[in-house]
Amino acid sequence: MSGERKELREIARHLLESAQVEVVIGYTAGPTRFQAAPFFARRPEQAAYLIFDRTCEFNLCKFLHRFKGRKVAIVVKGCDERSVIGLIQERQIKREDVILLGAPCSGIVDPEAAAQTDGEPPFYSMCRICSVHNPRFADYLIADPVEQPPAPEFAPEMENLAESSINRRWAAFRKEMSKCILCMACRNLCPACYCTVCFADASQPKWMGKTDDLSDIMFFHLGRFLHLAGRCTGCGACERGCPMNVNLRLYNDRVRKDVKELFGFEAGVDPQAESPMACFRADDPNNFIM
Amino acid sequence: MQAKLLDREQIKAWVDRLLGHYRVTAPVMRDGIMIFDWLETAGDLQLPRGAITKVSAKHALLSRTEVLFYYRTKSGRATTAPPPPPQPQVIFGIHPCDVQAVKVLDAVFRAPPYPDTLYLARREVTTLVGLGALPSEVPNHCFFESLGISAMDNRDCDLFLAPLGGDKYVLELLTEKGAAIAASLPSSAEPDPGELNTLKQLRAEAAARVNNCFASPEFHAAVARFFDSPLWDNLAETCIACAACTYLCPTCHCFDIQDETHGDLGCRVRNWDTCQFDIFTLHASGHNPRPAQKQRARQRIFHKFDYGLKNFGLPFCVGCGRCALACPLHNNLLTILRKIAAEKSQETKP
Repeated sequence: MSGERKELREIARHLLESAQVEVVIGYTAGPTRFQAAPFFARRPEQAAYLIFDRTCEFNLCKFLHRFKGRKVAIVVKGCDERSVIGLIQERQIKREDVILLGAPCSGIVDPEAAAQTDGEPPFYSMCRICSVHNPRFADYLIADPVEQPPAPEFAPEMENLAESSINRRWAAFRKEMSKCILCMACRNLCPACYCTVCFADASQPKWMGKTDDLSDIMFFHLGRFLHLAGRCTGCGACERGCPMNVNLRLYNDRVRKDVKELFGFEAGVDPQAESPMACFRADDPNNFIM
Repeated sequence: MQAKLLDREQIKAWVDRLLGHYRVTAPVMRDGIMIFDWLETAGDLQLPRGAITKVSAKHALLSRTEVLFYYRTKSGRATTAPPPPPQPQVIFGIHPCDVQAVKVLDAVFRAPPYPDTLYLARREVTTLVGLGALPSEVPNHCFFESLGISAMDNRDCDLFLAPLGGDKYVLELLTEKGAAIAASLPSSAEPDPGELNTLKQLRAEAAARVNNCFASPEFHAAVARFFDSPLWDNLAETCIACAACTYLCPTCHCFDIQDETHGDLGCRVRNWDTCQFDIFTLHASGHNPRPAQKQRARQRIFHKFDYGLKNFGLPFCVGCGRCALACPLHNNLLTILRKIAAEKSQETKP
């Protein structure tokens, strides 16, 4: 259960003043109305710049890798918190190094869609079906918990697509992949992507070409989907950040569903659970092995 | 100068005819975003209000992957063959600021001592049909007016479509290349004196909004003084080093040369590349002259507002604002430029 209710700026200031952490990773007002920016408060007086509202989009857990082994506090929404748990499951961070400032959240505004309407700014579609409005493991809660409506476990369009013919699925995959420009925003935003050298960047040997040929683009994304099997927490950072609106979550959710059904494991849910990639059980399913 | 009065249907009928003879790239909607892409049918053509697409027309001159030559290696000997010559093409509906971006590409790829023959061959067969925007419809994220470009600017276009509001456009014939594709225009009237007067007024209104605050020598001198500024540390801190800004930028033109080999056949290609990737400057020795994101973040701004001017006499930014729109972390070039313009002492508060 999440911890004590505190005001964000007050608790951030306290943590910095008492030197419990060297930095509070949070958000501050961004360049436009619907765009908050990441902010690193290092001095107590900088806590006054921190905000949390429905424009705080990024999954700040990506930044945890920069502070490995150091004491930090981080603002996490319910979805972001799963990335923290995922990184703990993968032994990338230690729970005691991180103070979680949990931010209950009913959804994040899609700034591009908001710019096209004068009415109520719309949330990202993924937020409308979110099942983790409230953080579960936060040390402090920076707002009152919000109501959690019933929500599907995986992207509903994935379930629909899974029902359709192989030709339709292939056409849909080609269409999504044809939008990608290999800008690497998805990889660079993903808290679970932390290889020292990405397979996409390796040159000795060169695993993948970076041409505009669909086979290169598919190779990159299929490589990522598989590399994230049992590791993707479904935070949606890749999809929100994609400048070309590629629906990456759809395919990551497909793999998440497989891992859950085959191994009974969900990344980012139970800090004590062992990742199927990191353990062996005699009753692991093996019917996919030729 | 000749001019014609057209409505959307006439424009589409014209583009339909052009598609019989040219490859045409134009604004289209793809899954909710407006991008430039090769047209399959004239029905897909969009004439966006504000006229700025999320993805520019850069790909028509500098494709994401371009074959430099094909090769075959057999028993230790190699033979090469050039790529096929480029097809005549039209960039239809290009915004005035993107036209100035083409001028940046021209300056870079024409520069002696190594003019880029592939680029120049493609440029030679390219016709630019500009599309203006009503001054009242300039999107908030654009700042081309601060770089001396107006939304009704027809400089360097072969033809220019100036919106008069509603469904009326005046097509201005500006060059011989433009006249060649205007030959397939459907029958259309010439604008009457009232319409020409409206155009004149709109153009004056658009021009009145122009200032040169980011194109002035004073500004460029200020940029040069920022080389060692903590501004770059702050920018790098909230940068994830992806290529969203540079790939969507209409002037960024860096590329990486790779061989794509299949058995004894292959081709040498150049792919888009970006100064924001750490491997962009990584040497084979392991040394990296730009080891930190701070230097890479600075490089992008300095290439646009310092090196471009010093080497080519042009700013390498046209103020389209696409980088700010594309940045997943909402880093905003305009915010940085304003900070430099204000030349205030730097604090860690963004």
